[in-house]
Amino acid sequence: MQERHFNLLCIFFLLAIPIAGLVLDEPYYITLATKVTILAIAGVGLNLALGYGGLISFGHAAFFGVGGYVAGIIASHALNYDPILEWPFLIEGTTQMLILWPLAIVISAFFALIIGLLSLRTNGVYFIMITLAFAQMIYYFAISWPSYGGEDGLSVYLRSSFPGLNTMDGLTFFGICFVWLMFAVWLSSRMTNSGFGLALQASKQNAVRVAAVGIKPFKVQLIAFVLSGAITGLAGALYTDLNRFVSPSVLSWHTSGEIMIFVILGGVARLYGPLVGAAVFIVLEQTLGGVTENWQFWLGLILIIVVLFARGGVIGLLTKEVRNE
Amino acid sequence: MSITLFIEQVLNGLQFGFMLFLMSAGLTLVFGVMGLINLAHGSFYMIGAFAAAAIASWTGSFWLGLLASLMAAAIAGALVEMVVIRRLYKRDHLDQVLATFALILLFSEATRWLFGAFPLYLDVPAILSGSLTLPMGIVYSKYRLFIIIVGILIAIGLFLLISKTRLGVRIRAGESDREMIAALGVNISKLYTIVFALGAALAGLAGALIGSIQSVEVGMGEPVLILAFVVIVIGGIGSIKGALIGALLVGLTDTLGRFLLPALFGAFLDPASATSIGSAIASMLIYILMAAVLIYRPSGLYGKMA
Amino acid sequence: MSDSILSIQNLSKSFGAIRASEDISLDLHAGEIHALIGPNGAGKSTLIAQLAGEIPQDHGAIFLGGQEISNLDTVARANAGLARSFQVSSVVPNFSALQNVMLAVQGNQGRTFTFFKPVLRDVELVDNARTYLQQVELEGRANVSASDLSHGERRKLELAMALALEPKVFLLDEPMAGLGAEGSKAMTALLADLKHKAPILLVEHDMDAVFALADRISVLVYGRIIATGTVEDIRNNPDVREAYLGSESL
Repeated sequence: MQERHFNLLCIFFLLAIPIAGLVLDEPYYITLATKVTILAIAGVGLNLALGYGGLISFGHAAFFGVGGYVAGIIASHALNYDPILEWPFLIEGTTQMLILWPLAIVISAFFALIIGLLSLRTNGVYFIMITLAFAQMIYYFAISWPSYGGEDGLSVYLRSSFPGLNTMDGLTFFGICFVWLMFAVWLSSRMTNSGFGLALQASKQNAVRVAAVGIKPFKVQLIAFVLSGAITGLAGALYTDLNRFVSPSVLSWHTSGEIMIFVILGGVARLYGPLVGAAVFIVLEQTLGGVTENWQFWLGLILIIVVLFARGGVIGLLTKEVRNE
Repeated sequence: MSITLFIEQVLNGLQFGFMLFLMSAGLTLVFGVMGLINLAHGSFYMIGAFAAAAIASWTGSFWLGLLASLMAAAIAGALVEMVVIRRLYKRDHLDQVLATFALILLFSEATRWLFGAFPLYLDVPAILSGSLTLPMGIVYSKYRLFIIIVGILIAIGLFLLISKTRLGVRIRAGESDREMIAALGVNISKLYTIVFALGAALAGLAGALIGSIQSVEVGMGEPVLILAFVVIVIGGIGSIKGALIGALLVGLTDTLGRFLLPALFGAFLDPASATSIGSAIASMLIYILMAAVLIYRPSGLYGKMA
Repeated sequence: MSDSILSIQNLSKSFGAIRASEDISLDLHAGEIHALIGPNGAGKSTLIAQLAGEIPQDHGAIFLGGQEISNLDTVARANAGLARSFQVSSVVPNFSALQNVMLAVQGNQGRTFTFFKPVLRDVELVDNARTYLQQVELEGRANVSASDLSHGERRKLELAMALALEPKVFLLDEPMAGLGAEGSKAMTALLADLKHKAPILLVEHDMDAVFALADRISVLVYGRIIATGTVEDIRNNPDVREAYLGSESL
C-alpha cells in the first residue's frame, strides 16, 4: 500500500468513528475520536521539531500545558465574571474560541522561543534533558501556584464558544478539532516541502554542511521549534475545552513522553504518523483497559516490540515504505 | 532562624544528595559506557525498595532486606540488559527513550500485580532509630546519618573500583574506545551486563534506604529518576565525579531552597504570599540550576565537550 | 597587491604550547590556483579551520575581496563569498544530489526562509541547481541519494555545492583524497576549469595534481610557511627538499 492511500484511509476512519458513535448512540466514541484528534495535533507539532528537525524535545508537555492553561485561565475568568487585570487597564476574560486560540498559540510560541533559545545551545542527550527540565519547571510552578487550583487543577464548567456553532455538541466540537488537525497537517506538509523544510531536514543530518553554505542551522531550528510549540499549544487549548478541565498533569513528563510515543509509534517524520500513533495508543489503552486491569503491562510490551522490530513505526510497517531516517 | 536548624537542613540536603548519587551513578555509567538513555532506571529503585520491604518483613531483618534490594535490582538489571537493553545500544536516542519508557510500564504493572496497589512500609532497625546529639547541640536522625555514611562509603568504593581495578580499567576503556577493547579480546557484552547490573544494584539500594523514610509504592521511582537525570546532566554525562558533585548540588539546592526561600520572601511580602511564591520557586529551583549550568556549560560541569 | 582576492596576514594560533600556525601570510590572486602543501601535521587543517571560521585566530587577519572577515562566523564567511569543500566528504546523506545543490543555491540566494512554496516545484531553483550538477558532470545522477553516490561522485557533488555559492574564493581541502588515478584525472580537469570562476586555495597531498594545476605553491612546515613560489621555485628550493626528504641533502 502506498503511504498516500494509507493516509486517506486514516482520515476516513477518523471521520467514520464519531459518525458511527452518532448512529449507534454512543457519544463516548465521539469523545474518543476528539481526544485522538487533539492529541494528534500535539503530535503533528512535535513531529515538526522531532521528526523533521531531529530536535528530540522531551518537554513538549510545556507547550501543551501552557496552551491548556491559557485557555482555561482566560475562560474561567470570564465564567466567574472576574477580570484578569483591573489596573492599569481592565482586561476581562473571554470564552470566545476565536480569541482564546490565537492567545494560546502566541503564548505557547513565546514559551517555545525562550526555551528554544536556551536549549538549542546544547545537543544530543543534553537537549533532551534541558527541554525536560524546562517543562518540569513549569509543571512544579503550576502545582505550587495556588491561584488557579494548584495541584487540583482548574475546572471550566462551560466549553468555550464559536460564532454560529453549538460547541457543546460533541460532533460539532469534533468537527472543529478535525479541521484544526487537517490544517496542522497541511501546514506541516507545506512547511517541510518548502525551502525552509529543506534547510531544516539538512540541519538534522549535517549542520556543519548547512553552515558552510551560508545558512544558520540555529535559526532554522529555532523557527521550527517555535512553530512546533505553537501547534502543540493550540492542541492544549482544545484539550482543555474537551475536558472542561485543566490540571498540572498536562504539564507532566508523562504527557511529554506520550506525545513523543504518538510520533514514534506512528512513524517519525511522516505527515500522518502522529495521528496513527495517537489512534493506536488510545485504542490500545481503551481495549486493553477493558480486558485487563494490568493493561499498562501489555501496552509496554507492545511498545517494546514496536521499537525492536517495527522500525519506521506503524506506517512504515503497513506501507512497507522504507526510509533512512 | 537558628544556626542549628540551618545545619540540620544542610544535613538533610546531604542525605538527599547522597541518595541521588546512588541513583545517578548507575545512570551516568550506563550512559558513558554504553551510550544508553535509560528511563527505566527508576524501576530498579522501586524493585530494590519492594525487595527490601518484602524480605525485611518476612525475615524480620532490615539488613537482609538491604542485601535483598541489591540482589533483586542487580538480577532484574542483568536480565533486562540481556533481553531488551543490549538491542538498543546501536539505536538512536529516540528508540532508547521509547523502549525504556515502555519498560517502566512493564515493571510498574508487574510490581502492582505482585504486591498489590497498597504501599508497603519498611521499619528502621532499632540500632538506627532515634536520634543522635552532634556537637553544637544538633540533634539529628541516626538513620539519615546512616544514609549519608553509606553514600560516602559507596562513593569511595566506586572511585576505587573505577581507578584501581581491572573492571574499572575496562569501564574507562569502554567509554573512550569501544572497538579497541573488543579487539583486545575483552568480552564486551559481558562487561556491559556487569556495568548495567551494578548500576541497577545501586539504584535498588537507594530505593531500599529511602523505603524506610517514605512509603514503598508503585511509581516511586519516577520522580527520583527525573532528579537523577538532572544530576547527571549537571555533572556531565558519563562522569562519576560529576554525578557526585551534581547530586550534592541538587540535594542541597532543593532542601535549602525549600527552607530558605519562603523565609527570604517573608522579608518583604506578607506571610501567605511569601509562602506560596517561595515554595513555588523552591520547587523549580533545581531545574533553574540545571538550565543555568547547561547554558553556561552545554555539556555539564565535568562532561566532555561534544 | 590590488588583485589579491583572499589575503591572509600574519595569522597565528597556538594550542597550549603547540604552535599550530605561526605568522602565516598568504594571498590568492584572481584566476589562480594557489596550492598549499606540507608534510602531515604541518598545520594545514588548522589553517583551513581558521579560514572557514571554525577556530578563532590568536593574531592576524583575513581579508576577502578587501573586506576583513577575521571575526565573522562560518555562516557569515560563506555568505561573504568563501566556499569550501571538506577533507572528508560532507554532504546531506539522505538528500538527493539535486537537493544537496538546491540547499547551496538557497543558501547563496538567501531564500531559506520561504515557508509555503514547495521547493521541488521552484523551477528557477531546480534549474539553477541542475546547471551546477552539469558543470561537474553529475547531471545524470541528480536524483540519486547522496549516500548512494560513489566516493568520487560525492567529491564532485561537493564541488557543485561550492559552485552554487557563486563564491569569490574556493577553499578546497584535499579534493583528490581517496580518488583513483582516473578520478584524480577527471578532478584535475574540473579544477583547471573552476579557477576561471574564482581563484582556488588548494590543500592537496597528490603532488602530480598540485604540480599540474598550481600557479603558485606555498609550503607549510610546523605551522610556518617556509616557501612560496612557482612550481619551479618550489621544486628547486633547498628548504622544501629538506622538509620533505629529511636532511639527506646536507
